[in-house]
Amino acid sequence: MWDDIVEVIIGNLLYIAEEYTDPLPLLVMYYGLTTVIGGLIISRRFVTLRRDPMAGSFIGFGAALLGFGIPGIYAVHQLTPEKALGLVDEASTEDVQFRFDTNVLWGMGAFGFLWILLTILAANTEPSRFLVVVSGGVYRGMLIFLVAAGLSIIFGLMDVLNFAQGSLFMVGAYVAWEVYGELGDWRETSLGLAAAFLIALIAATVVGTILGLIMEVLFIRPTYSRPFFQVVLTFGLALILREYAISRYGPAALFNVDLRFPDGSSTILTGLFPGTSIQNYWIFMSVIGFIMIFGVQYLLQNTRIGIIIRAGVQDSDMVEALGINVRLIFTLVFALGAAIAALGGAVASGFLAPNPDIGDQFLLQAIAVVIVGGLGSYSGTAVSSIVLGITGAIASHFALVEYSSDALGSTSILIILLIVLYIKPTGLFGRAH
Amino acid sequence: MRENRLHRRHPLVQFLLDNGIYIIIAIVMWRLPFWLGEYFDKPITELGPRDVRGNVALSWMAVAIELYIVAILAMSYNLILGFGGLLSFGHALFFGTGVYAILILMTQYSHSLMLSTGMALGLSVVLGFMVVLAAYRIKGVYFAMFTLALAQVFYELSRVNLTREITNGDDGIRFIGDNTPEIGLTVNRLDLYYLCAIVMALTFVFIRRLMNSPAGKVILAIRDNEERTQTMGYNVARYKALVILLGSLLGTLSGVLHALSSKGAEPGSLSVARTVDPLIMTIIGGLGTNPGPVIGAALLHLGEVFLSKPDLHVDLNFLVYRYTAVVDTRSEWALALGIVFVIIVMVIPYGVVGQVNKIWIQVRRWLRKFFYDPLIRQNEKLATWMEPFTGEPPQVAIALAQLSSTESVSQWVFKNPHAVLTSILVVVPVIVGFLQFDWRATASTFLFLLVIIVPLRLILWGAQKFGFWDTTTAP
Repeated sequence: MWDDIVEVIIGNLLYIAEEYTDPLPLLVMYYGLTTVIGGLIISRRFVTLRRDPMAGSFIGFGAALLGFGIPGIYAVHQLTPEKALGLVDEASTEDVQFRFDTNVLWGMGAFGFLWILLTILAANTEPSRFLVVVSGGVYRGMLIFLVAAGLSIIFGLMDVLNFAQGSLFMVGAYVAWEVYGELGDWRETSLGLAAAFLIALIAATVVGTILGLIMEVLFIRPTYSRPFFQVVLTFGLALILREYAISRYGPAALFNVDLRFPDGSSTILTGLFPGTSIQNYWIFMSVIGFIMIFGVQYLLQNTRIGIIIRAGVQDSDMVEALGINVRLIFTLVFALGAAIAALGGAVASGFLAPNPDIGDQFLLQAIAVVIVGGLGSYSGTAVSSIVLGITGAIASHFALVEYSSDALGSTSILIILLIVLYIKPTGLFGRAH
Repeated sequence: MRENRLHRRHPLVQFLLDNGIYIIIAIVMWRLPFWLGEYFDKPITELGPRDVRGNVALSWMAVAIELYIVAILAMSYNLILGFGGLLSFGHALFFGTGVYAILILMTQYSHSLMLSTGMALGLSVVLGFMVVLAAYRIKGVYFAMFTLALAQVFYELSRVNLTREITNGDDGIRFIGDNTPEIGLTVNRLDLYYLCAIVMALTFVFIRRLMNSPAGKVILAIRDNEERTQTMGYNVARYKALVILLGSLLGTLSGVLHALSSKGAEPGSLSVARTVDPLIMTIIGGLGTNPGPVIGAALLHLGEVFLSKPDLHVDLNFLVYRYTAVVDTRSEWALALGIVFVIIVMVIPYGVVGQVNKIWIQVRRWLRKFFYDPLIRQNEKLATWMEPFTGEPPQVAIALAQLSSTESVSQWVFKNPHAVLTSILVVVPVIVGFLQFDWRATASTFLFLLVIIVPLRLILWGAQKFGFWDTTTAP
């Protein structure tokens, strides 16, 4: 096994060295380089202005992925007005000196790792397959993120590792399936189809929110004084939800209703890259994921409740002393996390048939993502979910090609988690707890 | 309580009070196969595994064997979680190591049982050291996630095609045909039964002795306050390593026994479920107590056997249907377990053992107040006779009795209506079940009383809250 791996790596290096005429690896290497450089440049600006290096790396990464290249990144850097970034008055920007945050280094390390993987993938696959694998990784990362977002915020604010998050994902999937099945008559017209799909998503989110509220008020709130039992309690809640789903829907996956609304594969992408076929639903899931990433980021950074949440993450006693009802904020945040997870489940149920284990398989990867990103660091979670999603997709791809089994996808994420924990026990962007 | 006593009890009395229940359980464990054989009128000794199917006595013995194995697993988990204070979600790794190592070494390399066991234990030490190294740096939730990921990696590795030649994927390995090694343990169930029983008893005694030794006290101190223990000059790292390695060794030992009893290895023995089972057992039984995991294992395993296995299923609907709707517990065992687990974590976080201890202290106080003290006050000879049992010299006992208040039972009942109702809820079903000699009667009486007593307590609570029930004055 190890011989094979070493052989593959050395083979790749030789291949890149000899066959540099192939444009795809070069393109990927160019993207990787622009990512690293762009992330560094923009995060430098962000450190100076907002002290949020990860958001900077994130934008740099996005700019590189969209193909802006080094000039594009420079444009982004120049076009980002200080006022628009907010929260900083002119007087203080003069005084703040640039500190080289080690978090930036870890972020660059993550992107560099992804860059090497993408290069290896590009050198080993035909170009049409490359885009499919990468976009598969992006949607996978987005689904992981939808579970991980709630985990990350809830842990950051309340120090509760919510094992029931995966079960809420499962609840969302089943609720969307039920509602979509109920609205069978609507699905005859295309407008009705879209409306039914939207109603299914909203219903799942609402049910998830209510379930989160009930769970926080009835179970989490009375046990704040016993943190260990709180973790075990969420474990029990996950068990109950799972077994209830089994007793109601049976242990098998449900294939009866095809819940997919944006059907077919993307004609635009097929036109741009001949031979590539990417399903519209993957793009839809990725878009939902990105909307949630930036929506929650906006909520945390630019609203009053976000300021309270961020203050609560730092020192909840002090916030309570300022006359703010922190317990209410805890409840709302728990419900928010539950709602995001349920929405993720509803989105996923169009692609993966709802089954009792659907939440657990994402929960493990979400935990890995949250811990690699650093518990309590929201942007770390967002970055590592994309990085690990693509890593998992690439690992699955190679495992399918070499050993015809895709179980290595989730295993590779867990192995990365183990390595990261040995190297940096608080995760890449986490603070010492 | 023991520290407050003025004199020591008679050594024999003290020994019986401390160990009597264990002696009784040991005798029951010793005689159980023969009782089963007599009760079902089936032979239990000379049979091979193929004859298990029709033999009720042997299938009950298999239940007992599995119970001992999960009890060892739960005790080893309790050593890490309850005594060591390390929340580990990867205990299945050690169990699965034992199961797989035995099967692989014995079927593919034809090693003997003893050598394979030794190699399995050595392997578990290696894996245990991986966890130990992590435990030095990684704390709290991170440690839990580390162990979970470690176990999950091995679980996935046991299933993928990459390792198919060794672990045979999802199908697992079995002792079949030519593979079956010639060991009496896989053939003679009685030998296996006694092996498991003895290993379980030794594990229990070992952990009890360990936790009563100076090293055990240091381990408990590390659980309660690590920095302080370190400041006092103890090598915290060494004691943590001790706890984790012992836990991993005992977990592997239970895996070895499981491999012998089930005669097969499958990825399920490495899955999260194998971690969740001992976790739930430990918490239901009592976290950080010696008998807790064993009691939890017994409750869970027997409950699962009674309520979810169709062939050994005992119908709970016998009396219940008269009072409530028909309860079919067969299919919903896991759901009921989850609900019971959450209720236990919320209401009695230290499990059955913690709650029984609490109740027993209260009962002892009542017994002393209402029976022993009134008797002692008038009877000096009785006080003399009771000295070996209570450890109090007669003069002291009489003085204490005269100091205690002279409240009558009726006064106390009026003052503590909630306690009385709860006691009825617990005591009456036990008495009814004992008189009818049928545990189903206990269950149904409990449910019946629950329906009556819960509203009563709610009404009472309201009456006290709004002042209709004044508990400060006796009638």
